[in-house]
Amino acid sequence: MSSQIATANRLTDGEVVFLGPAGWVTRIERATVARSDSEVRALQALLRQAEAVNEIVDGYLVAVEETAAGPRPVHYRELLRGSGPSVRPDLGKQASR
Amino acid sequence: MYRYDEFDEAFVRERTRQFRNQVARRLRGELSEEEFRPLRLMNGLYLQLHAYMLRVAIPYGVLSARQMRQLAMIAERWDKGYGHFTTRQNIQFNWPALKDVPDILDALADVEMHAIQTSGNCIRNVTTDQWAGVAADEVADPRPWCELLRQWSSLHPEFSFLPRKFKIAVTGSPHDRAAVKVHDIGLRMHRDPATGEAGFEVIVGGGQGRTPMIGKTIRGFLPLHQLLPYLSAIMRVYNRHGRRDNKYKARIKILVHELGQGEFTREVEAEFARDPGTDEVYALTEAEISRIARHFAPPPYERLAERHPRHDARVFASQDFARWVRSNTARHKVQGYAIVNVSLKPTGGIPGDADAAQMRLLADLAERYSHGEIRVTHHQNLVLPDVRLGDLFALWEELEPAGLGTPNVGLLGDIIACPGMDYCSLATARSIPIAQAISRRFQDLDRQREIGPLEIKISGCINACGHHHVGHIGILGVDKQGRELYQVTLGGSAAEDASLGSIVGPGFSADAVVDAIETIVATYLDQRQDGETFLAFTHRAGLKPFKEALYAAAPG
Amino acid sequence: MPLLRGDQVVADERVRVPVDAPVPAAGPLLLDLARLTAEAEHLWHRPDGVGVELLPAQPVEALEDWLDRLDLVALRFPAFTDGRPFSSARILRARYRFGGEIRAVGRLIPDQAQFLRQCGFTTIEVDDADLPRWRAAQVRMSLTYQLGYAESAGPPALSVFRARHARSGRAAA
Ligand code: SF4
Repeated sequence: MSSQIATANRLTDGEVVFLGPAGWVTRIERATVARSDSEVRALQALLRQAEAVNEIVDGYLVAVEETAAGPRPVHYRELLRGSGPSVRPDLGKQASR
Repeated sequence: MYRYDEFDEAFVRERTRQFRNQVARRLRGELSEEEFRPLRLMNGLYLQLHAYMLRVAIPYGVLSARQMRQLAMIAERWDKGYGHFTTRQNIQFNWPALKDVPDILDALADVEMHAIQTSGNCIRNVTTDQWAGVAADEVADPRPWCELLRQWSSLHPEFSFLPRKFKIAVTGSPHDRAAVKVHDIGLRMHRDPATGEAGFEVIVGGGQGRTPMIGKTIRGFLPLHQLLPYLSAIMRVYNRHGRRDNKYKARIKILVHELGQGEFTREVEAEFARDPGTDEVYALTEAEISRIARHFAPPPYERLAERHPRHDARVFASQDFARWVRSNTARHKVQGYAIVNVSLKPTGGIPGDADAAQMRLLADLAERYSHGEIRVTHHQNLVLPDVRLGDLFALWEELEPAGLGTPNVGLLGDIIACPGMDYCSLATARSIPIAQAISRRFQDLDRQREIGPLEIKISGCINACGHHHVGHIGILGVDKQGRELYQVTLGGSAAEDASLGSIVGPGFSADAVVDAIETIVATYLDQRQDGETFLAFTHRAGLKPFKEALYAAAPG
Repeated sequence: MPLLRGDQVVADERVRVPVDAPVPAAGPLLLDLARLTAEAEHLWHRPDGVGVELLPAQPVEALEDWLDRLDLVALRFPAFTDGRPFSSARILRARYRFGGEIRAVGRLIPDQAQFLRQCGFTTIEVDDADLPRWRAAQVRMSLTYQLGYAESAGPPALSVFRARHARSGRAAA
C-alpha cells in the first residue's frame, strides 16, 4: 500500500492542516506518515476525533510518496492544496516557504 | 439604482444577526459540521481547496461606487487584497476566516449587500444584461423585474429546499447578453406586435453542467403583472416533481426533458390556473414595480451632440485609444454617451480578478464619469454604463496604467475561466493557467482584431461554471489518470442563437492545448469566407476541417 | 415524540396503527395513506379525529375527497433537504383551504421552523433530546417578502410588500 497522511481544514479559519506527531500543523513536511494498515487506522481515528471536537473539518487521507524533503502527495490536487494557487505564488503556504 | 428602504435594511440585518448566532454556535461546538454546512451555504460560505470562500451577491450585476469601495475594504481587511468576479455576476473572496464572516456580512449590510442565496438548492442571485437600461437595442428595462425577483425569492418559505440550485436570467433586448437560454428560467422581455404591450417570453430548462441543454419556450407572451404567480407555478411543479434521487438529474432541465416540453407546459399552466394569483397579488406587484422602477429612472443625461469633435480628433491621433474605443465601448441609447466595458483580462492575467486598488480606482472613475454606477458582466468584466464621449479619453488614460484598459472585449483575449483547481475543491483540473497561456500566445492585439469576435470559455470541471459548452471555443479540464487533460469543444454560443459546442476529438495536455487553439484559429483564418465570424464558420463547416488540422498529422 | 406548536411543547395523542394491527375502537388516529384508502368508509363515524401521514411522493391531491373529514395531515420529511412537503402544505392551505392540523414529521433542522409555519404547518414533531436546540435556534425573521404564506401563523412575520403598500396608501390619503 502507499503511504498516507491525514489532512483537513482548520475550523476557525479554514487553513489547510496536516496531522503531525504533536497535533495539527500547517506544513506538510511535518505530517505524520502512516505506512501500514494499523498506522492508517490510527491516523483515521485521530482524524475522526479531531472532527468530533470541532477542531477541524472535512478531514481525509492523502496518498504520498516519501522524499528527502518530506511527504509529497501523489496527486496534483493535493500538491496544490499543500502549497497554494499555482497562479498566485505570493499567496498560500508557498508564499512563506 | 435600487436603494434599500427600512424593510430591506431590517431584513438583511436580521439575517446577518441570525448567521452570527449560527457561527457562534458552530465555534462553540453546539452545531456539528453536518448541521452547520447547509446554514453556511445559505449564506454563501463554502469550504474550498485552501480556505473558506465567501460568495457575495451582486444583484443582477449592479454596483454603486460606494459598494465597490466597501468590497475593496473587505478584500484588504479580511481577505488577501483582491476579489474574483464570477460568471454569475457575483464576487468571491477566497480567504476569509469563519470567525470573521459575521463582521464581513455586517460590513456588506452597511452598503446594502449580502450573501443570501449565493449557494444552496434555492433560487440564486438573478442575473441580467450588463447593459440594462442603457443599451441602444433595449425593448424594456429588466432591472425593476430583477429587483422584484430578488425580493420575492429571498428566503422563500416554499422554495428554499429545491431538488437543486435554480438560476433565473432576464433580458430586455433582442440581442441576448444574459444567456437566458442556458438558465433554469430565462425571461426575455418583448412587445406584443399587435398591442405593443410589454411581456415576457418564458424559457425553461436550459442549463450547462454535466447535461447541457438549451431552454424551451413554454409561454410566448406572459403579461408583466402575472410574473410572480406564473413563476410560482413553475417552481411548484419543479419542487414537487423534480428528481431528488440523483443529484446529477435534479435540475429542472431534466424534468422538462423527461416529461417533454408539452407535458411540462401543461403541468405549469394547470398549476397557474389553480393558483393564478389574487387581485391583491396583482395590485401589490404593480405598486411594487412602480415603486422599484422609480429607482431606475434614467440619470440626468445632458443633451449632447451625436459627435464630439475633440473625441474624434483623439481617436484619429492615437491608435491605442482608437483600438480601445473600437473594442471596449458600445453604443448608448442616449446620444453623446457611450457604454464602457472595462476588461478584467489583461494579457497573462487571471480572468475576473481585481485588487483593492483597482476596485477603488473604478469607484472613483464611476463617480467622476458614470453617475457612480458599475456593472459586472457574466464575461467577468466590468462596465461603466454612462460615459460622455468627451470623457472617454480621460477615462482611458486612467484605466490603461491600472491594467484595466486592455482593448480585447469580445476578442480572443477576453477569456472566461472559472477558478478551477487553483481554488475550487470540486475541480478536476486547473483552468486559469490555460487562460493565461492562451492570452499570452495571442497577445498581439492587431492579430486578435484580425481574428474577430471569438469567445473562449474554460471550466475546471464538468459543472461548467466557465460556460465551456457555450464558448465559441470551449475548454474543459479533466483528470485523466492523475494528469490534467483538456477537452475542446467548438461552435457553442450563449446568445440569442444559443447552441452547444461539439467535442472536436481527443483531449490535449496542458502543454499541447495552446498549440491546438493556435491550429484551430489558423484553420478558421485560412478557410473563412469574407466577413465570416469564427462561430459562423464552425456552424457552416462543421468539425471536419478542424479535425483534419488537429489530428491528421498525428500517427495512428 | 413531543410536538412543537408555536413555542409550546405539547404531547402527541395520536395512535399510529401498525400495518397488520386492527384499528383501535377509540382514540385519535394517525394512519398511512394505504390504510386510510382501505378503511375510509369505517372511519368517519369516530368522534376522536382521523389523521393521515403522507410521504413526499404521495400527492396531497389524493386526499381531496376526505379533507373535510380529516383533522390532521402529517407530512414526512425523509431528509431536511427534501422540500416537497413545503409545497404539499401550501397546497392544502391555499388551494383546499384545509383548516386542520398540518404536522411536520421526520428529519428537519431547527432553522426551518419559520418556513414550516409560513407554508401552513402548525406542529413539528421533535425528538426530546433535540428540544433545546430547537428552542435555541428560534431567532426569527420578522419580515417576509412573500405574499399569502400564512404570515400570521405564530408571531406574525410582516409582509414587506403589504407594509409598504399600506404606508404609501396612508401617505397618499
Ligand atoms: S466549473 Fe468546476 S472547477 Fe470550475 S468553479 Fe465550477 S465547480 Fe469549480
